Amino acid sequence: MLRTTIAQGPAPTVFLAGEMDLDCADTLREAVAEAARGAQMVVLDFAGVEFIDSSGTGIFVRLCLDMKSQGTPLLARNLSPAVRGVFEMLRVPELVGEDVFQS
Amino acid sequence: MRAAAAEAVDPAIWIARVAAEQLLAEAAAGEEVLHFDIRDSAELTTAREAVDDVLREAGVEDATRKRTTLCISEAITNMLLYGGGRGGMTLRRLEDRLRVVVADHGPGLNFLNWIEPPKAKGQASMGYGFKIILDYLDAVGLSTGPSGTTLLLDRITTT
Repeated sequence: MLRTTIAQGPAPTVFLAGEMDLDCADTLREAVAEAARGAQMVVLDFAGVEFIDSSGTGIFVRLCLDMKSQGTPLLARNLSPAVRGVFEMLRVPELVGEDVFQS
Repeated sequence: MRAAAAEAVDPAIWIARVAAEQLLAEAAAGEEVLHFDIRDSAELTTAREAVDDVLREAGVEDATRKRTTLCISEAITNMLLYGGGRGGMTLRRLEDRLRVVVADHGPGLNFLNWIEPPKAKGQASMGYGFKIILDYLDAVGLSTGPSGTTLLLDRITTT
């Protein structure tokens, strides 16, 4: 199960915790929509993500592309080596743009 | 089948056609450790976590354990999405490996799903899951047809 916590501010941040799999789409979309109200961008903090699979990855990619087209791009930070490994294997940076990933 | 990689040699994938009976015999080999009937994503999570515990007890190192449970998640997700929505996952212990068997009685896999783009909500196509499975596991077996799909996922535990 994916859990989210939102920190509002000039750069609103959605802190993600738990598992990003088949079931995370609604939770992730609702949290990002709430954080994005009136914002110019939204940060997704992956520090608490313990597991991600291709379903969770696909949901993240789709959301990144949707938010970019709506003018409120996402930034992703604090990816664990496991999450980064899956993203690189599935070529996520090529799909959403390298600029999505904060170092 | 993919052979265990020798040190400093890039792993490769060997795909060979075998008789369905041979693969189904392999699916029953060894000792059954766990079995779960799976109908939804909550049961997927339960099964994944149970296998994770067994791998931990078997001394499988952390990164390999995470990669293995990821592959199991991919296989079961494919079963839920494309294999009729329900089936079973069995963990078996063989002499040199742990083997997960994911089996359903669904309509069989349509490999054209491999090239479908992500759907509106962002669901990845079946090919993403198989990409992970083929990259991360030591051996993979697949039988699929109109009476169902059986997928064998092997993690070698001795070197």
